[in-house]
Amino acid sequence: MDCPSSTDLQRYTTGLLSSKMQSDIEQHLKHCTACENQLNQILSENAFLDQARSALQKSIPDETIEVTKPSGTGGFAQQFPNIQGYNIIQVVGQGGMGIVYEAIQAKLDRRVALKVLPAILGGPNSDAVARFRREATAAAKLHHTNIIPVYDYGESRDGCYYAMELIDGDPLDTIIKRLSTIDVTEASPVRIAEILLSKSIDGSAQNNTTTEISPQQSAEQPQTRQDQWTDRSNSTTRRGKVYYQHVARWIADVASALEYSHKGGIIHRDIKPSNLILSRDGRLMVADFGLAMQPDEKTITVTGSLLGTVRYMSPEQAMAKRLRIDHRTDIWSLGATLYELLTFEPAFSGIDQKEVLAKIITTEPRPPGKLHPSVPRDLETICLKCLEKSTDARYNTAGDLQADLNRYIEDLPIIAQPPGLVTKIARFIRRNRATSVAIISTILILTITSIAISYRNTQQSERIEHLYKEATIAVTEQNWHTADTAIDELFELEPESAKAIFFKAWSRYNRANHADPARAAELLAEADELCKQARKIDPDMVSGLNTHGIVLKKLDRFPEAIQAYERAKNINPEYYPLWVNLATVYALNHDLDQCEEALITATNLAISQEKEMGVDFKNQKPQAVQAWRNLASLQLHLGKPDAIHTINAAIQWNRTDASSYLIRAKILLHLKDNIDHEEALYQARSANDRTQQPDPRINRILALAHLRNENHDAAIEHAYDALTLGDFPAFNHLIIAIASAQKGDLVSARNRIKQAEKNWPKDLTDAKFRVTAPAGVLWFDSAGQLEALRAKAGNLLPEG
Amino acid sequence: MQHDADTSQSLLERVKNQADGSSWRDFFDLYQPLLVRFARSRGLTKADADDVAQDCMVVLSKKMRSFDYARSKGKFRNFIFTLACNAITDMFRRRRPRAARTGEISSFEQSQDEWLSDWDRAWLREHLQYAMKRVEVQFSPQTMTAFQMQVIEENPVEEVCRRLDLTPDQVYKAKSRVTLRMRAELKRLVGDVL
Repeated sequence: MDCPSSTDLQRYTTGLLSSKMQSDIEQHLKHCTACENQLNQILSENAFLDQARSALQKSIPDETIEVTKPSGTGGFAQQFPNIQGYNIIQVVGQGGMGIVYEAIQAKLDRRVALKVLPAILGGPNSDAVARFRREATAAAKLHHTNIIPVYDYGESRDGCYYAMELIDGDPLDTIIKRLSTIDVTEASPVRIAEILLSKSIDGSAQNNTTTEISPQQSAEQPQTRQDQWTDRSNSTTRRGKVYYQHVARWIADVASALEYSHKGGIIHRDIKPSNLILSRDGRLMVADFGLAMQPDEKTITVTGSLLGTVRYMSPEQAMAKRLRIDHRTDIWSLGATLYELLTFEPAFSGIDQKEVLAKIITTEPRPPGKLHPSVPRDLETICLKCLEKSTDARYNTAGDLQADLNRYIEDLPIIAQPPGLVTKIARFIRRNRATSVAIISTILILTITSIAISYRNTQQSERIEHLYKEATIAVTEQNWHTADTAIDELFELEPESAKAIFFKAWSRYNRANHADPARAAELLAEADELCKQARKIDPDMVSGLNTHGIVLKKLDRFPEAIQAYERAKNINPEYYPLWVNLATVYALNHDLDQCEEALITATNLAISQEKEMGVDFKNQKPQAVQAWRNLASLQLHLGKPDAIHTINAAIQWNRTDASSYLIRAKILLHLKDNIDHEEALYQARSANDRTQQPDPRINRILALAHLRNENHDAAIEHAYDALTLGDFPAFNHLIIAIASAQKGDLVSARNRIKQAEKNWPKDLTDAKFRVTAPAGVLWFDSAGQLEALRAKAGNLLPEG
Repeated sequence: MQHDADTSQSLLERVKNQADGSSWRDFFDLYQPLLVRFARSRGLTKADADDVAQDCMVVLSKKMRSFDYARSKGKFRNFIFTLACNAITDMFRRRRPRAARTGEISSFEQSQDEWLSDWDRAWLREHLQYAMKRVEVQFSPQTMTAFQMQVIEENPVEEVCRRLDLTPDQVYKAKSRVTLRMRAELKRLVGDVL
């Protein structure tokens, strides 16, 4: 199929399409990087909004936050809700929604875990409460040794709550943290047992403050688990084996609990270490059941730390195909948990959610055995089978997983097989196709963007793609003949294609840049004609409009160029180069307000797109810096103090761009409150170091910087260079005049002033400034600065 | 609130680098309510919470210039968190001097996780709302209404289209554009998105 519309892609992420459409798009996504990128952008958007939504929904009036409830002994930090029938003792944890307390159920005088959804998080009819209620009812239906049983549900003024068995133990994430500090394969079973049993510091401290726990309980129970460890260890077994046997046991237990609940039609959807509690008698228990069980529901997080949750999301969850999630998502998440027990590292990590999500969708986890050689091969195979991207490649049921783990425990051959050569090659190709497409599209984005992407599946389209690529490279390398041959073939393969015509125009434009003036005029006229022709075929092609804009700019037809960009902008306001080019044309048209606005939009876009598109946009860095650099140049011209910060941002972004350093030098020479001649000289030199060819403007700024530092000879030398390179004669003559005068050579000085007068730029007597944009660098020359130089030179000369 | 301020730096950098009052006012508009909200969530009265926020702002006004923001992500968040915790603890000490001596301060150590999660909540909420306020004025009322109805009130797209007489494409575009701008605003505020 063709690329789906962006509306359909949006719908795809919410599962609102027919299943036919849904699977068509899914197929399409496998082949189309452009759509995949767009999808990733939408997903990242959705993830952000899911997180932001609760904060953006009605702001909570301050009064409801009032939790002050003076208590004589509890300490001010412990403000517990008031739930009838329960006496809350302390906080034991914080779940996806709500806080979990240890409490005494007064009627039965038993210790329970009480999960409370604070009233401030949702009124009686809010979604949060409805979800919470469903969670409680779902969990209450389940009776299994490895599922924490629910006793009671209720709603009170301070929030809704449900009571469940209080498990004496720690969540698995805590256990993993502790285990990661030792080498499990070296440590003795006793040592491991100690680590598993060591109570967290605040736990023990707080226990001391309560009298409800019987001393016996805490003294006896550690024994149970320690026994269990020592029982299984025998000195002849390799030490690590005991640990792995336990891990297999725990995961098998959870798998059995999941199998039970899946059979009852309930999918957990949020299996992760912090939702699994290891009891003191060695059972791994599933908590927080049914948190996200309704198919149309979004995973909600209240605390803002989504990262923990994201990490254990299955690829299908990460892709937000919410309707298509089945019980195998739990198998995946349990696999991710197993992975962490084997390696003490997350299966997918990243600096932010976006990166973690992207990895879950696209990368294969490193085999646990590669990280820890002692990990048993079978356990690794089982783990990786759970973590297969395709649901069909995973275990069919949690029961199958449990059975395979039991086979491992009993030293029988397991059913799962390590990936064979075919699978490996398929994965390799998948990865590399993505890379090469990324490279190709980067080249294209730099020039005319994403032309070839919507064709792909047939041989012809591959040929077309190849031709675009070849032609692009030929143009950048100025091999006009090769480029023309490729373009001719493109015209044959797809006649009447607006893309091809625009592309030809773009190549003409590039050629004009390297031709003598007369020929350049011809080429540009041809490019303009081609663009007009292409626009008749497709008036809305953004990259094409961009090309036409560039051509028109070159022809000094600014209003027409603005028109082309404005049109493109309305079609795709997220296309970064457009804004930068539009800003330049506005500046050339002396419309500085519009220019500034466009540049600010461009910087905002760059920031968010870099974040969202990651690698792709980074490859465009040299382009991306333009917005900041040009903005700084404009701000300097307008005398805005922000200029220095803007240029600093530009340089931070890209340290190879000579023009950025040059603008910084210019700022340090001219901008009020920022004048620093010495530093300016250094910056101008930095600019000079970053170019290969002598640059007229750099030489002019170097000359001025030297002049301000009273290096007269150097100033004169660079001003001469600038003059030779054809730069702004009046300005450079005046620099030489001043330097000569300061050296005492009044004759030369007078002579140079005369030269300057003779070459006085007409456009700067009519207007206060002039704008140029060589190679996309926005550059302002102001009449004021020139006048100031003339005045200074005049002052240095005696009357007459 | 300034809407046309410099876009290239985060709010913190602007406060640090610039003497102008507008950056500081932006800073105040954002962090004062956050501190009040946090202090209240820890159980202080409105008046005490205002005092705590005021105390913190005074310290911040002195410290911000030397604060090395660029070096590390999240450092500022921890910095201001510690500041707020100390101010709140002080306030409790002042209110209940006896209790403080008998070990209440150590109970702070124990419950720091809890403090932190309250802090995270307040932090997220204030930043998002602040960013939202800034974004709101940058779009047409129609775009904002479409965003509000679709994203915040979670109405089905068809419903939004019907009520605002828009195409689904326009509604999704509104969502994307506002989100993009929100994230850019957040990035400007704290140099990072959430």
